[in-house]
Amino acid sequence: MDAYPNEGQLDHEGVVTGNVEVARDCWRMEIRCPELARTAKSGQFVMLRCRQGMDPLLSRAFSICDLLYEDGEPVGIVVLQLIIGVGTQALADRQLGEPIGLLGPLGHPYGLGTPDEHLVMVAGGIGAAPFALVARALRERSPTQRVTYLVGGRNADYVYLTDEIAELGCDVQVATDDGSRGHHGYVTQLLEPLLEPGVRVIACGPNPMFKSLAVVIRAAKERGLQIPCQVSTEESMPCGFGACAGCVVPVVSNAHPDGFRFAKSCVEGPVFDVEAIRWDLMRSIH
Amino acid sequence: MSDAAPSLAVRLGALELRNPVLTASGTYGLGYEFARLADLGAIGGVVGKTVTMQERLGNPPPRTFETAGGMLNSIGLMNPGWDGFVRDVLPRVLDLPCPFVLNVAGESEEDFIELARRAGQLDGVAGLELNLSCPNVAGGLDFSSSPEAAGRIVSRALAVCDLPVFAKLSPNVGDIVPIAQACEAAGATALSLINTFLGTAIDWRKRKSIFSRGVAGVSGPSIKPMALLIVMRVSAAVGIPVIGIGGIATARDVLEYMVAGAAAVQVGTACFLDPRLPEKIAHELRELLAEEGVDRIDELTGAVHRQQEQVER
Repeated sequence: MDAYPNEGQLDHEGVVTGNVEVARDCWRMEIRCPELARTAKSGQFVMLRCRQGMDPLLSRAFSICDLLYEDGEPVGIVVLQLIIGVGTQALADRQLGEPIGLLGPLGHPYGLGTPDEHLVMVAGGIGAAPFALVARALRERSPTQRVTYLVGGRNADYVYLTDEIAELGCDVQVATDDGSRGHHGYVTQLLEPLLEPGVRVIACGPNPMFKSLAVVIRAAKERGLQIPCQVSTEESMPCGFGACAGCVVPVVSNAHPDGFRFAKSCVEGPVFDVEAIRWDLMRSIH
Repeated sequence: MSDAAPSLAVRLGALELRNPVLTASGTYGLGYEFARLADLGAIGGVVGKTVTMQERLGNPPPRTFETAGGMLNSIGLMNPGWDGFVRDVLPRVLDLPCPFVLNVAGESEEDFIELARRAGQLDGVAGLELNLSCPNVAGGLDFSSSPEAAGRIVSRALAVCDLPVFAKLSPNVGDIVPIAQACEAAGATALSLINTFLGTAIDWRKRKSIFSRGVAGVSGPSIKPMALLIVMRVSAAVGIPVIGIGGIATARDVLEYMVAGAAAVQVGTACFLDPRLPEKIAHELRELLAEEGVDRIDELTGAVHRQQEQVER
């Protein structure tokens, strides 16, 4: 995954065509930007300008949650964002019809395997964002593939996209930390009973979820069950296209004396094989 | 107003640039990564991310933190090292449609000299920038903290390297002017002013700095007034070209730096907003000059000093 993933003109000016609060502190923004939407793949992301001008200075990275269509052609993107600071608040305040600068599509997409596999999407919190587009892409490829969406959140207010993904014919299971919806516990506990040959896992969420996912996948491997598993990391990204080296994650590297190096998650990822990351060195930012 | 398109060409010693817009070290990789995203033929040149003798993994994250009007970084000179640079990167930067200035840093004075010697043997590199001022590695600031240290490294580098040599200095010193003058006396082709200001960010709940080293470098529009003053003061005190760096994000910023005394500029943090920002700035420069009836951009360099002289007379 070390080939530079981006090509051509990344900078675009879109128009905000929708911006509504769909859950507590969670906003769904629609941006019309046909030239970007045409080439967007599931698991890729965009960098959004929070406001016109330079304050806040840096753009914010968001998974492409879904695509907007017109006459069957992709003409825009949807992003799902949780308000956590001044930048995301500024984005929530964006008005319909406003121009919005963006870069994208960026990064390596998920590998979606083949339609004969059981694909399991594992999401934690706002890490749910990429999976509407993933589910849509899978359904376009095969109406019959078995697809499961396991989604966790700290409580029922922070569980996203269950209806949208269920409508696409996927099995949906929910876990919450406080038991207010679905399984009382972690989303990775829902994964364990599903593991069998032919399962492929793709995940997005906070680092503690990834760490427990890595344990589950490794335990399966030790039982002789090799589950292909990719994770999409959520590091904060000042640039998103490989210029700043700020968004690094520790990855396994036998060529280095300590067995790891830092990889720019924007261009070497954001999608990594779960076994490529040194989870013991990964900080818990969430 | 002249009908001819204004000339954007500038000169740094023997090095001619098609326009004054360079990318700043550490903000645009080694340039080649973005050759498919931007028209690098439209900018003055790329100054590469610092290359050190040995590979460096860089500092553990978090490495950056956004501030009002800017950001902090503590990347720690992540780079493939000299051998990795020559093997994997050099062939690609030589294909760039603009000059490539190699930026190097040593852990010791001897490292700097050896890196300069090796750089001098490369074909196709347009210049050498000595990073005497990295705040994010142990001892990185020592090389530009005194006139003697900075002057000696520049002088010794020039003795083993025929390339134009730029000295990139730190603003985190008591008085930068004597350090700049020492670099000039040592024969530096130009001065790159400035590297980041020291700063930090605190996580009050954890009662500690965000950064593992406690310090980081501040960059972005918020440092422009301080950097602009340094460029104005130093350019009044030296005869060699000054390259202005600090918070440049628009063509107007470029022109302000040039009037303050810069012969060229480097766009840094603002590159993170858009890989095509440097070329957009270069295009906008031409428009602004045409509007203002300025034929040659290099006429603006140091205009503030000439204005000042008139006031004093």
